[in-house]
Amino acid sequence: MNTNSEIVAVVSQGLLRAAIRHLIKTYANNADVMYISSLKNCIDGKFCPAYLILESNSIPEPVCFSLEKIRSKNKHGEILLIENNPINDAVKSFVSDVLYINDNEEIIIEKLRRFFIRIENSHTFHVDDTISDREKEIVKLVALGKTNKEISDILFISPHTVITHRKNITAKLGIKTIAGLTVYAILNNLIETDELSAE
Amino acid sequence: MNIKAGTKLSDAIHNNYLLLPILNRFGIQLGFGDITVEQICEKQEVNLKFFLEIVNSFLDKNYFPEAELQNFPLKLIVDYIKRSHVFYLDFKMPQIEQMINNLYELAPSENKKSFQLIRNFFAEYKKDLFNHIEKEEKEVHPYILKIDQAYYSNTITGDIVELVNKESISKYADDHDNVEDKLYDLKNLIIKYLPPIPDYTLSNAILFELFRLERDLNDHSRIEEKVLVPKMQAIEKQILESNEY
Repeated sequence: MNTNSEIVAVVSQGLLRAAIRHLIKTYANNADVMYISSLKNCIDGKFCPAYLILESNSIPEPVCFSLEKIRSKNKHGEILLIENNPINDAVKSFVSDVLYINDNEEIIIEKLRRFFIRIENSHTFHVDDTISDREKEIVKLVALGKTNKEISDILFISPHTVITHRKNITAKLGIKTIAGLTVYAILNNLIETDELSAE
Repeated sequence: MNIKAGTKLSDAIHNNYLLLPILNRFGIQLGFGDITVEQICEKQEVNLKFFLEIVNSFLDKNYFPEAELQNFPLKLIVDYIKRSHVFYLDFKMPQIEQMINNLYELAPSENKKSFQLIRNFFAEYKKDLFNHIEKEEKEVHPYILKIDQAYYSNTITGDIVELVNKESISKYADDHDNVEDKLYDLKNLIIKYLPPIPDYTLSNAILFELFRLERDLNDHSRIEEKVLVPKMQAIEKQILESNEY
């Protein structure tokens, strides 16, 4: 959180900028915030900040389309939307949280606190060290639909070794099917959902 | 506890409430007062011995009376299996699906995707189970009933022999594996890998349902594998042997 562009804010109103600066100082370890005036670089994928704070009127229309582009370029980033009015669920599904201008102070602070610890939290949920790096590689390939033979070719190991690894993986994870391993791989960030569709 | 003809049905339920859905499969509904097993079977026109074997084998895996169960007409067993299919497809699956949808709705936005994965996984499991059951009902059961009928009425024609040669129950014998594995995986994904949601009672409730479903399905496939398949194999063998003369 301490590197320069970890937090990017697209906020035009001076009052809001000042408020955000102050809140981040308090609730995000005084991390540096980069203010930009246009979302273009995020939509193009040039900026992929871990935390993106957005004013809703900074998002080019169609809003969902823009948000989806940002999301596809920056999969692990968190987005906080600052909003005046209630928003629809479609928009909500793209962002981590929504900060309403009308929210009272306590709620705003609570939301910010949750927003900035979110990445750490989601990692502690998902990191699973029970399988070795080699086994992770194999889970990944299985999830991508590779056969044992293909895996043995890719990793330069014998098919027999692949089978042994797969047995150990099933025993350790408690997951037997390819579909189950795929879900495991995505939940644990071993693969991305779009890698699957690309196959 | 072994259930006997004179056992009060209510005592049987107090002993193990997992019997409830089994009773429904025999058309028995709650509100039965102090009626005994024998009386309710008479009332519902259920074969008492068959009822006892099914119920006791559900309660105690070691009790499993393969020989006795194999003495019952195949139609009785097939009917029972069909009624348990109705229970899975019309009641259990929609109920669990609804719960998993609720789980998704309640999931915090940062984890929605994970819960969507579980939803997809369940949908896939459901599809597999549907396909499995459909295949059983459309292909396996008609085959069993046809062979059974011909065998007992002693009308084994050339067509029947040909059918046995072509189909053979063994083809369907070990077809359960993938469906069972998916259910096992679903449980573990929820237990071990899905992030928690604030309403833990819902996650618990889903797991309770999945464990119960698994137990019921295991009992179900035990009846298929230990009773239906061996009995059919014996009949098939006899048909083929008698045809050699």
